[in-house]
Amino acid sequence: MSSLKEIKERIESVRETRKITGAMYLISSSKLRRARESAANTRIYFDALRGEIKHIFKVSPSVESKYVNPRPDEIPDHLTHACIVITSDRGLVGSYNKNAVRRAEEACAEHTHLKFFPVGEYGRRALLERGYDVDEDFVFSGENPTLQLARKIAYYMLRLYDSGKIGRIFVIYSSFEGGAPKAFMPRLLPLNRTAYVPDGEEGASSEFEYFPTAKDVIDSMIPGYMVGFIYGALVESFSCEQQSRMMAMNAANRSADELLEELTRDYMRERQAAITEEITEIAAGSQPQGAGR
Amino acid sequence: MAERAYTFPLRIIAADRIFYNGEASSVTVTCPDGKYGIMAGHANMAAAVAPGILSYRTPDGDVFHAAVSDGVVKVSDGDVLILVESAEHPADIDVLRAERSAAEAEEELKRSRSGLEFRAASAKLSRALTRIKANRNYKK
Repeated sequence: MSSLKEIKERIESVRETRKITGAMYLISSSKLRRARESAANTRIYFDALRGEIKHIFKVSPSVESKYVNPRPDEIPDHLTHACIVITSDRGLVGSYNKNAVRRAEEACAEHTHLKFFPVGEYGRRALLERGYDVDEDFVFSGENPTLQLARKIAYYMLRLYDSGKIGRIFVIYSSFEGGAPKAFMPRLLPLNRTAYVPDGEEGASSEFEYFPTAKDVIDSMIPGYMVGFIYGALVESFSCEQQSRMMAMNAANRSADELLEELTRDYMRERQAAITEEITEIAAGSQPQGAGR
Repeated sequence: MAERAYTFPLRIIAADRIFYNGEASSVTVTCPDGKYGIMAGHANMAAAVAPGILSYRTPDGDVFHAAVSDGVVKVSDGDVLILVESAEHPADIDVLRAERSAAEAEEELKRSRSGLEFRAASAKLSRALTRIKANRNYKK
């Protein structure tokens, strides 16, 4: 049995940890709320933009642009494809980071040449450790998902895409579904015609004019589309990170409470035992004196 | 009051907010090949929007300006929708920052070795100049 002092110290240390995990929970919940609020506005923009892209594909199905897949869906697979991986900078987020990195590993099996563009320190280190091809100049933190950050990332990727160094752009982001983080990997570019306009739905729209051409209209929407998509992915992942952290911290809080209860009980029992022992000793000590009087 | 009858619903949506949502009697945007004006009853069309000044007139006759980035304008059945990545009121523009950005872009333009870098730098320069111009000419 440990001594009273030891148990007391243990209780103190658990209490301190409980305070930290409790605070982390609260911080995550307020960050989550903020991220959701700022994402609501961008959602409107992005949905409208997607609506326009769909509209163009519908009205002029034959539009050609370097941002649109040639039909049928074929891009030479010897080209390097890019993959943005969004993780957090720090740990203590349950399976959030691990899921994203696992998805990246799976993606490597699907494509011959994949280059990673990690957002967040965790992903960066994890991918480097596993010996994957990681872009060296691409260093971004996932701590603060702003439109500015999305803009920087979007233009960085567009520049590579425009120069023909990469063939496709994917993004791995996480979303909180069914009480657990889940990683997704949609394709950013080139746009997939058939995903926007399913077969059989074509040509339903009325006459429409494009200035200067439909291609120019699509091309001028691409930067906004990239920024909107990446921002959405950043915020979704950030929200997911906060939710995962809240869940992990909630579990930590519960364990700490259980542990505290147990330790307090031990402490009481020890204290009781010590008092009983003392009384017994005093009683035992006083008896011979009393007998001698 | 006859003038008031010829208005159309105008929505200007930027990536971070809804910039304007209401009636307007005319709107002018910068397209790659020049300025383009739209009034009520315009035929259905969509056009690319280049970085530049956007102006719109409200039914009361007030004219407002904004510095906008790349985007698209669409007229469909009388509704006008303008989607731009960023839109700013001239008064909100930080001129010092824009000037710094323009100077940086000029420097990058000189240093640029590939066509790619050149295009990126000139895009940056045009963005910065638009913002400076918007602030200088249309600040109220």
